[in-house]
Amino acid sequence: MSLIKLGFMEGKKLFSQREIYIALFLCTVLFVMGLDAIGEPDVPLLFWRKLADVIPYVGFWFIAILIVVGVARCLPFEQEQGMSELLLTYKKGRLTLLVVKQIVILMYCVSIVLYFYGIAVFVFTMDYDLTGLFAQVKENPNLYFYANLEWTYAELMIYEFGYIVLASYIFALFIVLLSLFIKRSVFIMMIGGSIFAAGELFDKFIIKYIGTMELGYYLTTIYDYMFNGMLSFRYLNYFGPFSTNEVYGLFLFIAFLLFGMNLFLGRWQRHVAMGD
Amino acid sequence: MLRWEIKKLTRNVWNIPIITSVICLWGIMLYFSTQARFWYILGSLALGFIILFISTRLFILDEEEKVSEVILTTKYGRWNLLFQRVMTAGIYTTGIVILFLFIQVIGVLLFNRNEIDVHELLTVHFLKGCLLVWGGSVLFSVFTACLCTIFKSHGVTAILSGILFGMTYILRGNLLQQYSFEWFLEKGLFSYLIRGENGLFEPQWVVIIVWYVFLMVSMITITIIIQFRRHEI
Amino acid sequence: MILKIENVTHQFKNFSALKNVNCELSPGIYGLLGPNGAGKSTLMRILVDVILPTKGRLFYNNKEITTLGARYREIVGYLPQEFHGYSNFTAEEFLKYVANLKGLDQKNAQSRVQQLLELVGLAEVKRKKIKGFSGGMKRRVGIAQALLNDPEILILDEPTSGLDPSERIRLRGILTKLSKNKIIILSTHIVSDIEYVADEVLLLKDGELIEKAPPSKLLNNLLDQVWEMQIREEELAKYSTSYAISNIHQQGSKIEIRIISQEKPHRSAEKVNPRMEDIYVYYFGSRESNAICQ
Repeated sequence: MSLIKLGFMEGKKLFSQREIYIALFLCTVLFVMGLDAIGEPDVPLLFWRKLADVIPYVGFWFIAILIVVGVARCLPFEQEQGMSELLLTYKKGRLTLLVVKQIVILMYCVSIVLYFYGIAVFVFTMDYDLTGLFAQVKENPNLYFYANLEWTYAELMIYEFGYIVLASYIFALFIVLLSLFIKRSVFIMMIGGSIFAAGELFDKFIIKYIGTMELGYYLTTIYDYMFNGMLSFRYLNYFGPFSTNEVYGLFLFIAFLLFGMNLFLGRWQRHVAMGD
Repeated sequence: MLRWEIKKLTRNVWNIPIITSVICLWGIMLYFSTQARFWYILGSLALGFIILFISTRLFILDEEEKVSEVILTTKYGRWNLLFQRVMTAGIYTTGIVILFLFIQVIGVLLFNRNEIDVHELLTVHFLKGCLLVWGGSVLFSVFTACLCTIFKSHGVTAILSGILFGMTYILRGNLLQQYSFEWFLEKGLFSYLIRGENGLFEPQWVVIIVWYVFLMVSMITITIIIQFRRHEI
Repeated sequence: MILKIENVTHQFKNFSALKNVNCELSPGIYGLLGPNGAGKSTLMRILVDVILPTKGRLFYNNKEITTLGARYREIVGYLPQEFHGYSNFTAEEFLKYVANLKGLDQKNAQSRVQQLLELVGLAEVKRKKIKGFSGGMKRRVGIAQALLNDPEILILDEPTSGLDPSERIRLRGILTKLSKNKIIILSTHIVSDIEYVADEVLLLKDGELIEKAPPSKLLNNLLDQVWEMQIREEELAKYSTSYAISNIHQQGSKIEIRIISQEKPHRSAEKVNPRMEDIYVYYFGSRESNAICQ
């Protein structure tokens, strides 16, 4: 079977999980509620500013939830169907499958991000004027994160799309890494979800108690540069150390590193399973 | 029978790591504050997490371990067992609430820097609030048990309950219109009860009680109907 | 003691798993034989009241089993096709748990569990967790749990799968000993197991009960119809399309085949005594061997 066909089959397996659609329904309802809650009177370019802000504001929670739900079962699928040992006996087997699965997961991340942008566009279209895609960001610059003010909103949206796809892919690869060590999908889901939720809990609550301590500073730095920070655009902080291009380069590097690490660990586990 | 169900729950390999990590987190937090509002975020989230992670699993274990048909063909494997399992989930949840309460009291006694009246803290926040916490937790564990029985999937239960429960901490509905969808989402999905103290001063407590009675009765009825259809009770 | 199956039909969406099955079972061992998807497991699940038939009824001593409810389950022992057991329990704990659900008091349960662990040969590993058991050992735990309540109706879905030959022989011995005053129904793909222990064989094909008879009678039906002969390799395709073949055995440059036919297929063919495998091929065809031939 060619890799494309294998990828197609893996995609079918991933997208046929009913858990994704249950989570998608709930997240859509809550996401729309979240969008409604930030409604304000229309002014020029508000549509594009709000669209640019929507993922760092609330969207990243839902993206994270859907990544955890969708990716958690991706690897344990064979284990749960009692096929994992069988795969070890195939010529291509687990390693090729791991490559294909990680590529399919990238497609999944793209789909989720597109979906939430789609919902946001749909909701905002009803309230705000759509014009201004090619206006410069500096004309209405109060964004949640740092962006080059000379860019047009079109450029900003393309950049932002790439950023969040890469950030969510890194998070998804981390879930894959977890699933190399945890066999049951529901536990991967809960542990992955807890790691993300713990970050948010820290940022929204715990920091109030320990913010004045040195420990608080270190933990905030960890938050900013771990998955929560990536997904909530903290890398594009106004006082952050990275330029917009450097962030892309760094994310690509982390994604490749995780991709390779997962393959290496998958290969190592294959040897262990086969008693080499 | 109850003894065996409790044994099954306590045999869950995740019990020790999860409870230990929660206790460690609490321990650290207790050091920094006397935590009068402990149930408000950390406590309620930890309880919800443990209920979802551990006690709900009791209702899916038969499917996962491929013994459901064996159990269904035993004399007490239907109504009786379902009832016993709900009881077990309630007892387990009660045990966890007591454990957490114990840690809190210890924390207050050890670390209180005289900023809070200990008597008021123990009577109002702990004793009265704890009744709500306990009630909310038991109701939540029954609710998740019903969901798990309906969907026969721990994953689906974790997603449905986890998102709805967890989102009340992020999408806050305090300022929203009374009796709106958001209001019910905020107050009607157990986290409000498990947070304890807020419920003590709830002006619309009659509506809240009616809502929870309605929610639980509907959930249990739907579960029973579906179980009947599947010929499981 | 009579278990009566009356017009039982079961429909899964567009697929009829069982079609109007009728029969009466009295104490004895019944072997359920049929190809994959014939409806054996569905019939067994209906017999233990795990699923309800779409149409038809089941009676135990003239009382409908659905109305008997827990009283019926009290006298039933069941081993499903797929059975694992709680992985974090030991064999002993699991059996005690099921004994508890079956309504045995603690004292009785204790002695019964020990007795059954001895019977199925797991006494030495009774304190080992089930997750460390092999497939055959798990199967034996399954057999033991089915016997816990000393059931009047014992239904075993492929009890011998995963068991080694000595364990299969041991199980056959257990079943023969138990068969007095009990209705035992077992399904298996190892037809020789049925040949050795079953008093009657129920043949299921496409959801229909096509035959219910003692193995000796079924074997008698095939007397003078089973032949063995040696052929050349190139002749195999010809014979496989014209006859039902129950065995193919390569012998040097030639092939020895076993044919079921009313007429002598070739002058060199020799008549042989029929076996249960021949009956299987006679009733259900020999898709596998035909596929090999082609």
